[in-house]
Amino acid sequence: MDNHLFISYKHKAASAKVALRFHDYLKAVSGGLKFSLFMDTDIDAAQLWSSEIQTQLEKTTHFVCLLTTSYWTAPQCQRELFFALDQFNKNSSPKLLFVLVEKLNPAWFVFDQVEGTGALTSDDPAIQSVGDINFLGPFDKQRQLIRLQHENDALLQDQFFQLTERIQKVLN
Amino acid sequence: MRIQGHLRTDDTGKCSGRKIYLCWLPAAASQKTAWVDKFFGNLKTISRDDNLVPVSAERPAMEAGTATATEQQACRDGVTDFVFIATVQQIEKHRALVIKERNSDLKWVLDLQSVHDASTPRIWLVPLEKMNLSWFEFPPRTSPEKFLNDYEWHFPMPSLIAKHEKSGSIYKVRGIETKSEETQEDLDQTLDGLLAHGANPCEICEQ
Repeated sequence: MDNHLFISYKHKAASAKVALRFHDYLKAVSGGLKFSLFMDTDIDAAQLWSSEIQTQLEKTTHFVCLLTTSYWTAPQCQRELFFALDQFNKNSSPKLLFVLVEKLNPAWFVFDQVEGTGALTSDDPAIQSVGDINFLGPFDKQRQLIRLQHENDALLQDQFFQLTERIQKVLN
Repeated sequence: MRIQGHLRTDDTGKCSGRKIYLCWLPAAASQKTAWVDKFFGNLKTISRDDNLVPVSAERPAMEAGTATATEQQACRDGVTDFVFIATVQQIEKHRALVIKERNSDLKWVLDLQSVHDASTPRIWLVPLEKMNLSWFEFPPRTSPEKFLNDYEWHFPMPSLIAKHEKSGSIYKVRGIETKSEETQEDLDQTLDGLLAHGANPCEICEQ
């Protein structure tokens, strides 16, 4: 099984609950779609860069980023994203798969202008902001990017289905 | 008691009807659980199907994997129609039970499918979510691999199904509405589809 998905999300945020549900959904289909999955549910977010995360990131083929504003400003999340972005710039892998968890404009999130860190720089002129990255979704019927509808169970399940269909298309 | 052609018969050969087994593992209270409760409640009020065959309904109340062998046998004995209420969470719960080598009634009935015996219950799939059956390996970690779309499911609401254009075998199913005003309509149609099946094998039964 060569496909390895890494779910990157903000711990202890409202979005953590939806991240866990998405993880459980993907876990259920991982056998059928032939991928392994990692989400650091057991690692303390306050912990310094964990060797386990490093190991998992190094073998990641698909980096799934659950994007929120709190994700963007969290140092641990930035480290994961920066590592994935750096790897992508060097090797065109892992595939960067962004999921919009809350309503925001991806173009506002510029890689080399993150306030206070300066860490998220992109050497690739094609990728200067999150808006330059293709989103996994979710999309509405008009193919407009929308946020996950975590307050509506039925809609959320449909969105998980859509995201999984799109993951299926980009698996190796 | 014997089962002949999906009808239970007593020792004299007299038909004693259909026994419908509803498969739903305990889940956190939700709209889906409420839908299942309502569906089962409606099913219990029905005494005969469209062919005037007596109908009874069973919904094991035991916690997942904790029923005794005797309790399991009592529930499973004479089942003619096994109805799996499908959500991703329910599938994952059954997968987890199998991995932990605990009892899963879904595995029990799907194992029977490989026997191709006349007494094997019909299997029905009632999806409460949009899903692609080919995504779910079941039972998990077996060789050769088997997926949920490999089984000959009956669908009470065939309009929910989409077959894969090329293989024709992969089912993508739309979920039944459990929330809005369409809830009752979908629930009624599901019951209608379940009760319309005659005693004789249909095309799916014969596959």
